[in-house]
Amino acid sequence: MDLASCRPGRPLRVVELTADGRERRRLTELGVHRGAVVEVVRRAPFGGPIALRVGGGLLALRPGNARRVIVEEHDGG
Amino acid sequence: MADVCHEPGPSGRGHRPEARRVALAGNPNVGKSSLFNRLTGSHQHVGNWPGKTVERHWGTCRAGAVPLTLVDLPGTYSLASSSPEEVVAEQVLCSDDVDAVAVVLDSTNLERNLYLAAQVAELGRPLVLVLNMTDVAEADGFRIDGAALGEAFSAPVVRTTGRSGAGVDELIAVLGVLGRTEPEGPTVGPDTRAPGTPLSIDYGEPLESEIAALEDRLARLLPTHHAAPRWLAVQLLEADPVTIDDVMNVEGGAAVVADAARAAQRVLDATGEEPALLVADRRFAWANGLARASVERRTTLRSRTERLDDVLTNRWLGLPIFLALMWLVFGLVTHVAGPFVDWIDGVVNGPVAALAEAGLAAVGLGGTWFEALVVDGVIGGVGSVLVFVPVLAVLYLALGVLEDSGYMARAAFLLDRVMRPIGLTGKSFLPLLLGFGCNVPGVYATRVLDRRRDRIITALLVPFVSCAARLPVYVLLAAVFFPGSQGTVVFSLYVASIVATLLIGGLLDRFVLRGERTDSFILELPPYRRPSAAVLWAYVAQRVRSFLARAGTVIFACALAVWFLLAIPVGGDGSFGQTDMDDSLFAATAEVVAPVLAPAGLDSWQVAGTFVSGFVAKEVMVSTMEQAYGGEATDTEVEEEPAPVDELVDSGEGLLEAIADAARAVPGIVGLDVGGADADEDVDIAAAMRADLEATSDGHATAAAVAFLALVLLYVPCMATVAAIRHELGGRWAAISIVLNLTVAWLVAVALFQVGSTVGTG
Repeated sequence: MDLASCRPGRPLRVVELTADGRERRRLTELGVHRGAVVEVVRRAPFGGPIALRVGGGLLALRPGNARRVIVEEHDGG
Repeated sequence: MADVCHEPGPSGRGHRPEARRVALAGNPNVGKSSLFNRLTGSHQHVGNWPGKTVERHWGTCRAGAVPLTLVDLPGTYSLASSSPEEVVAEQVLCSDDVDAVAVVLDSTNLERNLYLAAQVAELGRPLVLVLNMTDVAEADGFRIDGAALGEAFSAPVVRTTGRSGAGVDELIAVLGVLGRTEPEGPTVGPDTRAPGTPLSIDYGEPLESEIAALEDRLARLLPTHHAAPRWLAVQLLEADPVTIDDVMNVEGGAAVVADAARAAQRVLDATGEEPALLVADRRFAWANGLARASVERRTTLRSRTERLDDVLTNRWLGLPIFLALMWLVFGLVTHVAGPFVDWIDGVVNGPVAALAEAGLAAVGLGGTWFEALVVDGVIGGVGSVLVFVPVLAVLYLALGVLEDSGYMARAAFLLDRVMRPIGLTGKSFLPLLLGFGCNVPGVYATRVLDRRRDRIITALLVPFVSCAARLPVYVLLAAVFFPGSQGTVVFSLYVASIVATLLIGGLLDRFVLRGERTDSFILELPPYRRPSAAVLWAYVAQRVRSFLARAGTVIFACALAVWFLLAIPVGGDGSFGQTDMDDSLFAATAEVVAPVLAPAGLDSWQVAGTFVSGFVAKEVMVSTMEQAYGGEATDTEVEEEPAPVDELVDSGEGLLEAIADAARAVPGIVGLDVGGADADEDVDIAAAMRADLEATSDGHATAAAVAFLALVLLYVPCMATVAAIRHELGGRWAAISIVLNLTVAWLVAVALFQVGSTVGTG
């Protein structure tokens, strides 16, 4: 599944980034890389960006960007 | 080699130990500025990087006997040259201008911060890791194994809290000796590779063999380059523009660059991935591994930031809170700054002018044109500049708090959806918001945007944002034509400004650089922090100073120029400095422009003249109007003349009163009710203006006043804003900006007047 369709509050593992070039590189620099554990924290109103917990920090991503991040449920630490 | 730093630091102090030059690198939002403030105190300077629009902060301090020069690099997530900030950071780190680097890390988000730290360590300059914000990290239950970090980087590790200053002395001591092989010996020259082994990350095959091949050639080609050959090889494979420039600049470099491009293609063919992405993945894996080994989080308690976000970015509460905060900012600006504005105005035009008059009378120049020049031209001009200092200071303070606290990024998060339809991101909201203070910083703030297209569209939109300098014009016009509802008029104009910005944004999105449209938006939401008073003070002082510097030249010169235009007679029987305004050169000049405004019901030289001077700076529009409409009144004005000294005493009491008024205004802020108090002193001007607009509009003065307000809102931004756009985007876009604003303003004003005069009562 992709990140845009995930409900807030569950740990997720990044399986694949389907973004390419600059966008993918930016995501990686900010901690969204293959294997990273992330969590959707909330969504902005009216279909705005999603807030994503990555490592100790928070990122805002548009639903469009989030659709290019493929994740799976992550259980345990 | 990029030569980006020209200030040698504190020079010429005999032959004391050579200054150590240290660059402060780090991600955005890691508390680097407050740390820099702690380190340098008042010994800091702000400028721009030569040829760049990125701000450059540098300062000095001492580590015992060793003078230190600190350069605060712009915050970046990497050294990939994909933004002007990253280019500057990379150029400085590779240059002769620094001896060592301090990488500042946010202790609460170490994994991501270690990515940049790794890149800097691979570059190979002497390094210290600064674990900053340790207070927040401890409160949030993080425990960081500094020894493990130090070992992985072969670098000293210092823990600091920029805000309280904890650990700063230790950091200074480390900086004093950082990268020194022989403390007493000669300083390290540019041809000696700095001591310490560069960090080496295993990038795996096929990258490693390509790196090895390039590395050897680069070592021979660039023996004096400050970056490790391995780092240069990796950067070349990533097609990093700064490194490519550096290598191209030496003989035989072009061949290596071409070979690196072929190597990158081979890697892409073999793995299906670009080298830049492979490198980023591996480097992140390294940083991730190290973070896991050295960070322990002992609590599952939610952090303060998360709890605050629950409220501030809440689905339902977020936008209302944002609007309330904006309301508060404008309330602060109008109500709290207002009394100080009145006070400055009173002092400059009261006791100061009176003292000057008394002084000139004493030397026999009373009543001459020279007195008029000094009192009306010079002192009046200075006054029209100073009057804005309190407004801008309060505004910049408010914006500084929003930015420094971390809230500005939340505003971008909440408002991204609003900006998306016009092809921009929530990030563009920041420059536009700054534009409400002054368009100039708004235009310069567009450099935080990642894409050139966003920068262009946003910079073209900023002039449609109603800057603070337009506010006094609204207030004056509203007081004259819409007495009793000034608050509503001013608020409507701000709403109109936002609507115009969005509409024109949609238009630009359809026509400007269509090929570069994209829907990507990724932004860090930094942890909330209490804003640092030192950082805020530096920010406000620097902005106000730069305003004064600009005002000192442009605005003052314009006020004076207007005075001269008004003083030079071209008809009638007046002499220099004693002419009626309608016989002056100013009126003659404005008369030529005025017919353009006829369809908007404003064919009057006073109105045209106001707009002519408003192009030089919006700040002088009010003073021009006052001179244009108030001139006759001034001549006949009967001056009661109290002794200047008494007036100074009065003005001292006036300051206290202004402070008291400002304090009293705080609870009433929510009622946004601007002006009102000064209506009585402008009675003559008001009558003259009303009479003028009645005449030019065939009795539809209200419709003409609405058109007037629309023109003030929409027409060409001031010269300084045009200069800023030219600086950021080049002359072509500056010209486009001017044409765009003139066209839109004229069309809207004419439409409003035509509709208003047909439908309305006038």
